[in-house]
Amino acid sequence: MVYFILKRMIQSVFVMLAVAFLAFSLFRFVGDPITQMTGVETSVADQERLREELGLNDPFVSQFIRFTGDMLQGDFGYSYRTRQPVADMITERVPATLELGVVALIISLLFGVPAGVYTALKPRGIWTQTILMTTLVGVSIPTFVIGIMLIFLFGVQLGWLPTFGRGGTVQIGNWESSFFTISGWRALLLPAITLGVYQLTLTMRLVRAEMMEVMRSDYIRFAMARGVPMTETSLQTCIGEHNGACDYDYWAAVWRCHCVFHRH
Amino acid sequence: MKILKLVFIGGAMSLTAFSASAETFRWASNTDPQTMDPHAVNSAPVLSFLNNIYEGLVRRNQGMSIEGSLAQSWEPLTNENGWRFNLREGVTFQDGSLFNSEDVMFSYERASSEAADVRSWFAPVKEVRVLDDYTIDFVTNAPNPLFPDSIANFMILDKGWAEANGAELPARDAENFATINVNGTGPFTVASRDPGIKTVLAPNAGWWGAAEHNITEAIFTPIGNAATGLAALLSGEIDFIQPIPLQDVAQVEGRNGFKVLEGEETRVIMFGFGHEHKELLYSSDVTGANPFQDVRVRQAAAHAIDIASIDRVLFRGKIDGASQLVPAGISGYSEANSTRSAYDPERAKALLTEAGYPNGFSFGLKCPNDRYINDEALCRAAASMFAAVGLNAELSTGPVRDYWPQLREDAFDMYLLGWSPGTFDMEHPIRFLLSTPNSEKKLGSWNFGGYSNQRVDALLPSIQQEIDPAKRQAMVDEVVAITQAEAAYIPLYTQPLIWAAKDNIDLTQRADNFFMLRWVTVN
Repeated sequence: MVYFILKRMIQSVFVMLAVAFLAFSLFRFVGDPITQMTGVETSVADQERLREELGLNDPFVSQFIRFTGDMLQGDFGYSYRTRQPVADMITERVPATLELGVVALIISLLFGVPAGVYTALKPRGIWTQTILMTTLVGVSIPTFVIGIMLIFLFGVQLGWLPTFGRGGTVQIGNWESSFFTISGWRALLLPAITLGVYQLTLTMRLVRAEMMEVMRSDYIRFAMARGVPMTETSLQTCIGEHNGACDYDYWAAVWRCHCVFHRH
Repeated sequence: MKILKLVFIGGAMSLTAFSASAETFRWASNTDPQTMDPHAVNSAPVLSFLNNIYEGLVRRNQGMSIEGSLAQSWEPLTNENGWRFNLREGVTFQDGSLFNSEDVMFSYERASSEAADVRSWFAPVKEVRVLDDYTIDFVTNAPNPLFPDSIANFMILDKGWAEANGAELPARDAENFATINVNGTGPFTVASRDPGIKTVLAPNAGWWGAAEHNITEAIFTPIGNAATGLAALLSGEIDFIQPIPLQDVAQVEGRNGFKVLEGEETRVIMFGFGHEHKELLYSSDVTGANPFQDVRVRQAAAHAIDIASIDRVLFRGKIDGASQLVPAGISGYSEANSTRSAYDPERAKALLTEAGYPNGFSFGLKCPNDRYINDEALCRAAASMFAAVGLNAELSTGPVRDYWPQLREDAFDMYLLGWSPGTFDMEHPIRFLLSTPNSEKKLGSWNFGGYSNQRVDALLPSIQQEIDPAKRQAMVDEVVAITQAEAAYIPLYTQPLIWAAKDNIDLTQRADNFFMLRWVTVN
């Protein structure tokens, strides 16, 4: 077990390095950072001086070592879009991301698990077919399109919910929360549903598939043969077999949702 | 019951929010100003935003002409080159300290330092002298009639405030006190700022001028996604947005309670040629030669463009064709040369035959796809118009962050460029786009194709120094005539400027795309 964990940790170091390398190359080679930092009238000489000051003329390897070295010490440098330390920006924005992610996850579990159980128990029912068909929308349409459609309907046409921002927030220590105001909840609803629809479909289909598999196993057949009521069996045993479907993909979707609803 | 109560409270809250927001003005734009420091970044979003908070010696009025701001008057120096500024007395900064010539001197030193991004404004300045508390001289190397115009965005900081907070120099790649905090003399002050999220402004009660606006609070939100921004306007959460995409104009116009504000930016969109390239880089049929060095080929390319079709199909009739590198209304605009090269495909083919390319040739056309309105679509349309006369453009488009480096490396045969004259005078594009590139003299720094004409180079210093407007205009006319005859660039059109607002908002759309809160009225 210790060996396994150790192996995984060493692997993850390489993954992190590879990701850092990709991110750094993108920043360094896709476009020129200097032209993005200066205005049109800045002379070439001034641009060159700034390039030298920022160490952009150093060999790539030493730039990359400096970049990863600083990152390991928690120094992410300054954003040239907001002139703030990037580490501060991340800490300020983490609450919004986590709150949205959690609410969306709750929405998806609240609807996804029961729907999954139902569609597994009655695989040929008309409701099952309806649910399966409508939730197909969740996986087949990209998150940002669902987001824009919801904004258009509930924000622009009906005017029920805000189209952007976080609404009112309450500061609790370092945590800026939108859980304690009505406008905060109103602003949370659309992005959480957008994100939840995607996750809901996945959750439902996973629950359904696993349940149907478990239902076919011998001990369930045996229990059914003994006359144990169907619903009780399914809920107690089958769901226990299934453990949550949380993946990296989920947090990537959370980020896209932030962009559409401008919550960061 | 609980749910009912919540709904009730929600309703009550939104009601009170509406009544209290009578003069709260909410607006959005696609970019957040990167910094609150007026000397750190020379870009329109920053300078436009900060013009509400800081002030310069002079400022631009609604019609773009110069008027007094922190300087009450100014006159040319008598025994040497330069200008004397007589400063306004009794002006205070937002923290209460008094404004005087020491602050101007300090701001000049700060803005012309190596750490500043705006130092090119002060390239002509030889010396600055404080005469007394309210008189200051800017001595220039040569006569410089345009100097007051060129420093309209040079904003004044309080010396004592900057020194007390360690912000003596602007921070270009990091932050300092002045990056987030402000202390200007202007009509508004920053009540709170959360970079990238929200900035709240409040009127400056001690402002020296008479307020024309009726705003009690202004909230700015940057919204990067154009669809989200438009939704925010149409759902009533914001009062005004700049800019909106061309394709959304009909959606805003079709709704009650909203209006579209259309104007023209000062930015002229044009095609440039690789004048100094010995051969075409991206041609499949011409090797060892660059046909664009022949003036007839460049004229043929100009005659191939049907600007009326581009206007109708791509811009919904919102653009005007351009004849030169600045639009009409900019000082120095050459009335004598205001006809643009006509759409005439037959003439274009004849010119190509004359130049020895009866069947045309292929070449590489570079365009950005996220810099100007409809830039990629424009280049596609132009490529098919070129093809109709035998000029086969191999179009390659890319994001602007890759685009400028490519142009700097000369990786093009023909390219697209938009240019807005920073000083609102024709001298600006002559200096940046038409002068022979010379990094020592800081000339031609955006003349990527290396267009070079000795007469134009010789006229530029005289244009910069001539005080008599008629003589000056005659020289500008000559430059425009030369560059038109040589088809140095193909000027296409002036970029449209489209903003949208609620019906109850009165505001001024200035041609430099600056948005001034002091001209906003919420009805």
